[in-house]
Amino acid sequence: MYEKLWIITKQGIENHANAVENLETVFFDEQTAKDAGYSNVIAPTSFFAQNNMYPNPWGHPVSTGTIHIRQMMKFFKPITVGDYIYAKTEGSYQNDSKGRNIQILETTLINQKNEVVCKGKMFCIVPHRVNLGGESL
Amino acid sequence: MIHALQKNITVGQKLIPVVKHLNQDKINQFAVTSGATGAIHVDPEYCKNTPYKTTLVHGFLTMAYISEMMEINFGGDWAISGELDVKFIGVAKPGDSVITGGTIKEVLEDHGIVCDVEVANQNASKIVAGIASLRLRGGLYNVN
Repeated sequence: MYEKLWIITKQGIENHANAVENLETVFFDEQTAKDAGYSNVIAPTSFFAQNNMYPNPWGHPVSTGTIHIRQMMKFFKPITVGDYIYAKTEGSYQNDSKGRNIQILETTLINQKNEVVCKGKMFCIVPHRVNLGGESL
Repeated sequence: MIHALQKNITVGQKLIPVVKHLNQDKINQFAVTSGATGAIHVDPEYCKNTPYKTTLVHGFLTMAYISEMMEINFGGDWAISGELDVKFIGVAKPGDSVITGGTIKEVLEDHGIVCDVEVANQNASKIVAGIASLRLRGGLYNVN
């Protein structure tokens, strides 16, 4: 299992919202977010869908030839500026019907109030399997 | 946020789509912010020797457009109850224009909504396809 702590900043949310061209005002302006009932600027739900949120639990760079084939996401609460998000990722492997290696990364994100804000499951075809030390199996 | 569809929910109803025009600068920007800086996304020279001969758009970036579509159509309810399960069945490239699609597939008794969702390119080739669902806090109105 791999664990990481994220501190959510206004700049981080803005960078993501700009990158995905989701320019809704609640992702940029504090007063608009407060008027909408949030404590501060919130992140688009796509903020949960980035590789940063799926750290490789084997501790090595993503292999060339890795193909992202499927993604599952479940959202429970918006992320807000100032949140501390604890991310834990567990990795496993399966074989598909063609015998290819399918790497599965399951990430759970929990905020500073111990509330689960999002769960995600990422499926990738990978050229080879590795062990926890990053060595090919 | 806009809550475009919450007043009238009909099985078969189309969601308001999102249209995006992709280029290498946008791919690079997403790569930096998301941490996915693999050569297949950001290195055109490297990609000349790959089957596609060009860089490819991140699956997560095309999926983000589905999330935006759900936010536009269902507002904050998507952020607290949304579920997404999509497969990446094609690729988007720099220069492509993509459009999201969504159709309400089921309306459930517990105020749940299930939608077929997709992202397609300018040639109507599907890049992403799957299911999105959520629960409406305020209940449903004028359900047909």
